[in-house]
Amino acid sequence: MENIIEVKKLKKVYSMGKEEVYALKGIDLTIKKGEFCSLLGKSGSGKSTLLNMMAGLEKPTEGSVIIDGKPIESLNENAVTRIRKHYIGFIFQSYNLLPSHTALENVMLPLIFNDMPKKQRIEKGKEILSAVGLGDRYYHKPNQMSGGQQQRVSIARAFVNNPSIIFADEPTGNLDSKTENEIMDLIVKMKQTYDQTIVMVTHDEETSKHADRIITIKDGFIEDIQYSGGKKNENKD
Amino acid sequence: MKNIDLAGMATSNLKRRKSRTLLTIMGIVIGTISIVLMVALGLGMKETFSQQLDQVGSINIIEVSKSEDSTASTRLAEQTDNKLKDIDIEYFKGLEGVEAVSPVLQTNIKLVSGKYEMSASLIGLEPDKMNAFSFDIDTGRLLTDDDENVLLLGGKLPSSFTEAVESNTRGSAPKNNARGFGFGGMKPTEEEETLNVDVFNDRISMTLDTKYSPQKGTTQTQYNIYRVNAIGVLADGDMTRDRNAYMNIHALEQLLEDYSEADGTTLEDGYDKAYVKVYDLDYCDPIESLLEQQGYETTSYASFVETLQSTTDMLQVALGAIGAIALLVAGIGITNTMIMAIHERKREIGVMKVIGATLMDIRNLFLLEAAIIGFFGGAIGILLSVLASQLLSSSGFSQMAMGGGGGKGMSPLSAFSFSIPSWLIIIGLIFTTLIGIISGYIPARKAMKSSALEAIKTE
Repeated sequence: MENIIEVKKLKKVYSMGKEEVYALKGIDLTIKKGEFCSLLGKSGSGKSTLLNMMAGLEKPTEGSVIIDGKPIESLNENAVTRIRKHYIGFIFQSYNLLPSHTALENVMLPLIFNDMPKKQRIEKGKEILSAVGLGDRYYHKPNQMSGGQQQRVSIARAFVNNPSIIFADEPTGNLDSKTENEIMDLIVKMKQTYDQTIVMVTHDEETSKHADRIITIKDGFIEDIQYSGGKKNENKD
Repeated sequence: MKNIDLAGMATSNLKRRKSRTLLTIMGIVIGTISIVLMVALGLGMKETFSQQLDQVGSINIIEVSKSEDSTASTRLAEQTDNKLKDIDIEYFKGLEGVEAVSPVLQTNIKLVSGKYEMSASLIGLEPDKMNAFSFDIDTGRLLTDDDENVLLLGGKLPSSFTEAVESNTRGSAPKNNARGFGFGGMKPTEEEETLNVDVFNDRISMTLDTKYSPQKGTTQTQYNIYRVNAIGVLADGDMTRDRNAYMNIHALEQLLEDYSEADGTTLEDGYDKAYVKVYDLDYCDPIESLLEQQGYETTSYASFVETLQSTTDMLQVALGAIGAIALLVAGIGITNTMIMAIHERKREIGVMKVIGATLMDIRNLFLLEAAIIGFFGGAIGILLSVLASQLLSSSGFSQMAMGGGGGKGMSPLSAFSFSIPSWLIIIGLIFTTLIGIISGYIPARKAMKSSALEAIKTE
């Protein structure tokens, strides 16, 4: 299978005054197309930093990140934004929906930046909202929806553009365990339906088991890589 | 991102913060109103001035006389008196830019008809130059070379005959029948006026004795009383000519000689002054300074016009500056609103960046929001300015402002005159929109530069 993300000798150093803090101390990682991969680690392990750098939100101190054959670490912000626009979808822990926009408007937002005509946008937005089970919530604003529903909108927004990679940063961090399972099932289902690559950051071992591969990060290094069959079958039905 | 989506997003963002948007727009509205009204007032004043100047038909005429201080001058001829000689007149004619020259004799006269009388200035001119000096006739004709004891009257003279003060012992004020002065001393309108004297048909006597009264007659023997006729009346409205009477210079010379003879003095040869007409207002200055170097004294309306123009220009700059300050403050208001908006929407900006908004998209969005505020503020402001200027320059308000001033004939633009030409409207709109964009630029850059990562971090 094709490599969609390649991370080479990635290092990140934060300067906190005089002190230098190593968040990543040299990471080599390859993620294949269609893979569901989770980065597991405790708070401060460097997993979120790694995700941010793979998404081009942060620049590495050393090493390189290659997305679909293109190194992104040396690109300027505009070029990185273009890459993100075409290749990357995001799911956040705190949903990050625009509070003034309805569910449908939130989902259509990435399409606006991709210059899609309005009519198509609405069609596509409704289609994907129905796919995440919110067919009856198009015109609800985020504050009229539960956390689980908001995360569904967020998932719909990440998938609507049909990007190559979806980054999920603690997607279930704000949810109770019942909703957590629903959301994880949805992510897995959506991944299969749309054949996406997913990179998920989590501190929760149970959550990480939904992925095909669990990469454990500790103190800026990859500590362990496990291939699991995925937890997905356990929860079905 | 498509322009239409950008516009839609910008307007919906502004609508979301309705009261803040409206307040900011109001700032621009006030700024626009003040600048537009100030500029309009300046333009209106300029227009009024130039209308008043138009009433001075003799704008490019220089009056030249001999300088009182003759020692400081280099004279063309050795002269001891203060009169212009033919040689001076010929010299004026030879100057570049001079269209016509007429020597001028001037004296004060009293005109009497029945019990009515009036004082006026009598000016002797060469009749064949009158066309060149653009005398506008209202009724009758201009003077000709053959005219002797006939007068051409200034536009306001026929209505200026008043009943004579009978004597000092009675002390009665001069009556002017049916003149009906307005409160502000405005001139009466035509239809209210009945003339005391029909200048063309009534018998008119003229004397150089300014103390002459019809009852007492003249006390001094050297004054002759002449029978005169009016042959024409000039068009009313030229303030330099309205109250003068004009006569053939040769006839006037004769009158003055008669007076000198009777008085036992000899009349000095020469002219009181000369009218020099130049082709163009631009010639006024150089010719005047040349003549002054030569020891002549000059007066013309050119310098008056220049002062007037620079005064109105200055006024306009000053008024415009007041408006500009108001608009500047309003611009700062936009900046403030946008900075607040960016601060509030930091997270939103971050999210948009992460899900695919380019830096341009973000910058344009905020610039557009600021521009919309500027544009609408400008549009509303201009609309209100037009309404306000119409209200202020409407005659009702003007008369109110003039303290109930006088009558139908009064020109409404004398009090408040605003002029809002279409270019002012267009420039106003462009200007306020630009102010919006400029005011929004720093906030927009701030939005563009803000870190997406910071914004989306879970707190």
